[in-house]
Amino acid sequence: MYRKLIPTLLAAGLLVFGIGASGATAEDNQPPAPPTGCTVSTPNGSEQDAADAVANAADDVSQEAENQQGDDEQGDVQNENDQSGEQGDCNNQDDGDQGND
Amino acid sequence: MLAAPGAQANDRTLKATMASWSHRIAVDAHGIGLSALRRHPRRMMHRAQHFRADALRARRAIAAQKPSSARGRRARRLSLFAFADYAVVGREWALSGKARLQGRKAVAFRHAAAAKQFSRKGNRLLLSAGRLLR
Repeated sequence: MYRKLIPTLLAAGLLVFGIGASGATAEDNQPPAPPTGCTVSTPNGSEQDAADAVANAADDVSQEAENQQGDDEQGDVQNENDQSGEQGDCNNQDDGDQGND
Repeated sequence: MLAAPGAQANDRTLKATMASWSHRIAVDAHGIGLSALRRHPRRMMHRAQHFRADALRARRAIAAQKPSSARGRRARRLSLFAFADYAVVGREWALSGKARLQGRKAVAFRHAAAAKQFSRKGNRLLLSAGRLLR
């Protein structure tokens, strides 16, 4: 009787181990979460958000103008006619006109 | 004296229009900052032109609104000035990018400084307009 029971228990143990391992692997292979860097996203469209974004951009442009470091000409030229935006860009909110005019 | 329901509706429409265009301007500005940080002046210039066009569109959309309350009318006037300033900011940013491309760094810096000055003024006006409609 034990000669039948031991292989059965062994097989069951291997089955449980296999299910656990495949579950862990599946979790590891899940696609990465979308980037959360688009903090400019303004669901309520408040004027404060616009003022903050414009002020930040003004600072960034001034810093760039002051910067003695050369421009990234290669990246700039390559992307000249590229409408896909840059990494970290909120492209889904930046295409087309709103048509409110 | 109670405000007429129509007046409230008109002020609400103005508020919604301002919010919608504020959002658009915020997204545009974010892209410009990103291009500046990545040292892509050509791309920054194109985005700045887009920013300016959006500011002018916002101005037209707000000018078409008919607020009925005194606060609404004042908010409309302030936001018209604000978006006019943003249009100037967009032009200065575009000129800054162009000068940068031509290697004229002093000119680029001057335009960037002018943009910053107008952006402060525009921000102040837009925030005041928003407060009036709360």
